[in-house]
Amino acid sequence: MRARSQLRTTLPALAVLSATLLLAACGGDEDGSAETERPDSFAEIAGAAQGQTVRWWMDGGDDRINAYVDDVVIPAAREAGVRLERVPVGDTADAVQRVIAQRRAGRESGGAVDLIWLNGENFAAGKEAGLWLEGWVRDLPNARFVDFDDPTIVNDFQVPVDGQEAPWSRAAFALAHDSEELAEPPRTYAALLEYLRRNPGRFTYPAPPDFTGSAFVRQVVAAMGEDRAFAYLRELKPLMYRDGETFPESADELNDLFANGQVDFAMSYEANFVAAEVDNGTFPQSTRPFVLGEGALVNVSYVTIPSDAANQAGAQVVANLLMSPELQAQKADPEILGIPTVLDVERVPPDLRGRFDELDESPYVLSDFGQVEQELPASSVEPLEQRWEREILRGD
Amino acid sequence: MVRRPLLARAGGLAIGLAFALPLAILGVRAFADTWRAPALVPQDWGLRGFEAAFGGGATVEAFGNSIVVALGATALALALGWPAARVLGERRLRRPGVVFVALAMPLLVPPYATGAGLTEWFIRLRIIDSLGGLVLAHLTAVLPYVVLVLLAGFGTKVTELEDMGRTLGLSPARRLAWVTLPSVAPTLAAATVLGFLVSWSQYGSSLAVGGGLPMAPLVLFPFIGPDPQTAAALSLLYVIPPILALLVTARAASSPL
Repeated sequence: MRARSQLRTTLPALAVLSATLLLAACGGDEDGSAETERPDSFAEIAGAAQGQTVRWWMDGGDDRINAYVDDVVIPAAREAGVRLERVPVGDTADAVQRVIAQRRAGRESGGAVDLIWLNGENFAAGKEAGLWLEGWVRDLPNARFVDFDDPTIVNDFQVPVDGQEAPWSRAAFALAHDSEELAEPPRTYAALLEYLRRNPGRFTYPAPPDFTGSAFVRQVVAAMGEDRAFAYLRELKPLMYRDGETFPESADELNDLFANGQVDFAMSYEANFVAAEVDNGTFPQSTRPFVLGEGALVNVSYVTIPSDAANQAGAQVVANLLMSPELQAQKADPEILGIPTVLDVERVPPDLRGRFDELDESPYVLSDFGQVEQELPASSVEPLEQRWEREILRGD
Repeated sequence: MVRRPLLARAGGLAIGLAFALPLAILGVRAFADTWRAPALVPQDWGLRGFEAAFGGGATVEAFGNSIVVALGATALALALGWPAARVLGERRLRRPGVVFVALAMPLLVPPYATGAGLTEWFIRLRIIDSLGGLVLAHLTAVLPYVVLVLLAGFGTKVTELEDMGRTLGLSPARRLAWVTLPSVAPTLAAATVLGFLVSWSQYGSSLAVGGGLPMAPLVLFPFIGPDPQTAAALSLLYVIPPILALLVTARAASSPL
């Protein structure tokens, strides 16, 4: 979730990657930082966390998520004896940069980043460089509600999580249409093509490497395989907005085109984006989400703790809270956020499960995303974006 | 003869509009809860932008921090830049070019590189994550601007006036207060405003060495793009301290001490 602005461009991610490679090349002293006397029970961790101030670095551009953290998570943390501070950043790569700088300066403790909400590429780069605290996730009490056999949870962009980050949110790729303008949207790839033959110019997607545009390409690739997907995208191009000569640069630009009636569809990797955009007045109230094809690309997003974090115990308490049925149910509530839970509701005790069953239906939030399309490996995202640029953008 | 003032007036009006219009649109956008094309005026007015802007409570603290750091960095830059500007402005150096390049280095090197280097060294020196550290980090960007502006105020004219003061028997302190400061007041004011502005808008270095301390640009930046209304609301508040700084220094520059 919210991965959109966590990865506005791949450039910062590249910078992180090159920096970590540099780190790996010049410093071999990665061991011995995190392995010092780990408390063996969560009670001890919770005890050590008392009075700690946890700085959680996260994207700060979504007022509803900010409000969820400020109004729900921070009070819950306070009750657990932890002071939680939200550090808003425009790009999570900035937080990873900070962790790398601490490592370069030779510090192994006292780091200013206690918890990061990060995307798969940044996680993979940091894992490679050994930046994250290891093996803490399954010891959290609320981890028992999570199905770690679920391949979408145990892998982050197909990189094994290995207990280095805790799931807290779920993303699913959805499109949106205005039900007043278009009662029934094209729900298959063939129908979309047919729709555009009749209504040329009424569709576009942000140009990869924009996060949303890249996800759209991956969604098509996941549905029909890479070569067929590219053939499809080539067929789509001349029927798109401005004859496919130009693409929006970002999801925000596409949202504006949709809101202003220049195209008929918006899209996002955020499962609840229609609710958010209606709430902030960007989309008309008649906007409805829908899934293109058999199912949506899904992805779980995680929080991780750097191995040099000053307040590791407090950070684990917060990560545990984020996975609690109470907080997950509030996050799934369309009135609050409407983001699907990462918990396996079957594992939640019946008295708490009710909160998930009783969630209000909202016209702005999908309850069923069809069959799950798994994310591609983190390492194949960039080659795909390059192929898109070569074959679709430049068109040879 | 008649046309020139008219033209000048029209030109002034055009320039004024060019400055005022974007701000006016910002003002409308900040209060527009719903504003979709093709409507020329918003469909719904409201305060959602300001509610979101102040949601977490860190916004007030961020503006406070930014003002303190900007004042500190500007004051320090003026104190450090003054002697440097004198030497450069009075052309006392044989090879000023070398000094100029060295001074401008923080502006020439990509901010990304400066930020990464500052973080690492501030951690080593243990001055990271504090307002003091932020003042020093901003100083690297503020100092070159302050020196470059300030040196224009010095030169033979000022030294001649100071020499006159000396022959009239003024003490060094009175000479500074009665002769030097009044004669460089306009450039001093310009350097102060510029220094304040440069510090006020530091995003990268604030993030790199602040360790999560709330600062005004850090609060504003994430909303640009995803949430134009909140970004506009914050921008309206964001321009207030620089405008105040401008007004205060403009007044100080025009009234002799």
